[in-house]
Amino acid sequence: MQELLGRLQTLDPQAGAELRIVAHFDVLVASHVGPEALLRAAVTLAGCPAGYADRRTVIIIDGAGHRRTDGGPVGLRRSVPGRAGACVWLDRAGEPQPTDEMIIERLALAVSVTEQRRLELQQPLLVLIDPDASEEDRRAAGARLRLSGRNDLRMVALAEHDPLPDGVTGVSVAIGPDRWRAVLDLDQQHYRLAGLGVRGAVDELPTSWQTAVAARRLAGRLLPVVDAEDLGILTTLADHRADDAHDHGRGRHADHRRLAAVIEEVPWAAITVEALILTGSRRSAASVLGVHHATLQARVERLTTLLGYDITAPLGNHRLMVGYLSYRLA
Amino acid sequence: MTTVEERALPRPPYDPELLPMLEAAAQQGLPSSITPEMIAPMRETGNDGWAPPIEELIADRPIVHTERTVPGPAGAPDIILSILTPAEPLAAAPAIYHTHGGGMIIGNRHDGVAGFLDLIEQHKLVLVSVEYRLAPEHPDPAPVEDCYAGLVWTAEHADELGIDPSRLIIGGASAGGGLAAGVTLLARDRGGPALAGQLLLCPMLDDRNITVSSRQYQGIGVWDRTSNKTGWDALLGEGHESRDVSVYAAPARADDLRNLPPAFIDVGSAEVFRDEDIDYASRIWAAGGQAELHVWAGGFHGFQLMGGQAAVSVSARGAAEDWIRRTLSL
Repeated sequence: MQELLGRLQTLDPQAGAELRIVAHFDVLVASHVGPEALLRAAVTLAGCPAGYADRRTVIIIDGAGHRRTDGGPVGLRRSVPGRAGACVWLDRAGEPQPTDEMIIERLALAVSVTEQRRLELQQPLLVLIDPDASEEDRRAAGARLRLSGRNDLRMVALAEHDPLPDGVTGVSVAIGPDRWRAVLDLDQQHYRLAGLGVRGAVDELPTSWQTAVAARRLAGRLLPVVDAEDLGILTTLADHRADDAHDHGRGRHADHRRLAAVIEEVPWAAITVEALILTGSRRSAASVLGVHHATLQARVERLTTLLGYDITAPLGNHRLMVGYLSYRLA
Repeated sequence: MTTVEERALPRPPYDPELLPMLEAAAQQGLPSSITPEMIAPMRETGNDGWAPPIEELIADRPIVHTERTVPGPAGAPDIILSILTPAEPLAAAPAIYHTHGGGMIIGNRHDGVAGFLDLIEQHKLVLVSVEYRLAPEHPDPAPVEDCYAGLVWTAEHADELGIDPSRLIIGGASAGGGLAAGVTLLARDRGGPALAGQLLLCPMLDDRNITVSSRQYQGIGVWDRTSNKTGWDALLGEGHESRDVSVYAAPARADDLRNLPPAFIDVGSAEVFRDEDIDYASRIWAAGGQAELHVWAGGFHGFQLMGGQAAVSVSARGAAEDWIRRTLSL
């Protein structure tokens, strides 16, 4: 069993050696090692010193596997994709070996991937709200923010230009064409306009963020801060948004499309529907909107005509609410 | 047999940097679970695959390789010793008597020698590696008695070999570590050669497969629980677990660990031998002896023998070499 690895190098025909180089780096990238471990792999595979340098760091692993900090790029060099000014090298003293090109290529790619991941981890919040983040990245990010053990965590979603309370920062997140601000609400700040996500442990932050965004979509003049915990199942009305993005809304329900058309055409439609939903009565809605009861009655009749169902009947009222939430969440 | 419960045991993970080596080992014909019918085909592969002849290992180093055929145990065939001497030898050099690994069932005296070439070259050591008979064709006590006979011959011919008999240590890895420990016990009990130290790299010491670590690694890694049973069954015959067996074959069975030369013991945290090796070191200390124990985090069985510049491999090799330097006053 001894010296198996070294022996394989000398026995492998070129093609086999190249496959093994690829597999070697792939396994390391998948197990989330850092640049030093990747350099060590290059030294193992090439049998000569290897190095990495960017504007701030130099890492050199000599042929015996010891780390050096003196020196710079020599020998066979390759720049690291996506990292301006960063490069890796193999410092072979004698004849170049046939696998050198392959090793330096895979080393550069592997360093590029791990450095990218490291940068993302520097914004641990982005990792924590990403439903596709790996278990390992999530744990590391949670540890950095010292969140383990808490189950009262929740995300707050703000639109790009919503006012931020003093001292609150958060990170910028793109959702489709829009930018949002994600805030981890650790000390129950008071927001003027925001969506509050459901509370939970660190693992549940992707859900919290999703519900916070839904809540923020529903927030408006009449109800500037919406708490997803008050919405319950209603936040799931937003779940089909991603599917719909491809067909510009054509796949949406006819109620949704009709309501959208009405809102676009009739200036008072959106605020009136919102007032009706939030207050639950025509009298209160008129009061909230500051219009005469008769005006509101006229609007209700007009909406009933345009939408094609009686929005004052119990079922019609719910139908209007679901249709409107679906429209706002889209 | 492995039960579902055993499979479900939690266990320390492998060091991520070692994973490519583990995969390479598996792909190159070193399966986790070795069963008796695999012994013959593995010997064929082994001769050509992972045991490069000593000449090839030496290449152009200033080291001379000679073979000697010397008497085996009483009534048994002669044995072959490979003797590696610096091209410019000392008059009385420190020496390592080497017992190769291979689970008692495979391998030859060339295995594991590569790891000592730097020391031979740097410090003008002499290394003697013994070709002992393998189980199951030659069950206990053939392997350990062959090793002992070779040691006795080496000590008796110290002058001729240019060896300082007061600076002679025994060393081996895996089964070779178990044999080194067994030969050390034999030398003590028979008043044989006075050894200056015993270098036990991930030694195979306990035939009973009763520790936690022996249950944690099944169907995974190098030399799992099944392989371990295959090796011990070959050496001791089935049913040995519940019988009295020779302490020279299975040193973990020895009650008396007093008056032994200083031991170096290392092992990976992620292998079958972890707990028996830690226990052996503890019991040497309890008996007033000297032992240096290294448990390398995330190491699989034999990782320190496979070469490569993974950080934990570099540290493990460095620790063993450092102990050899101190023990032999190099």
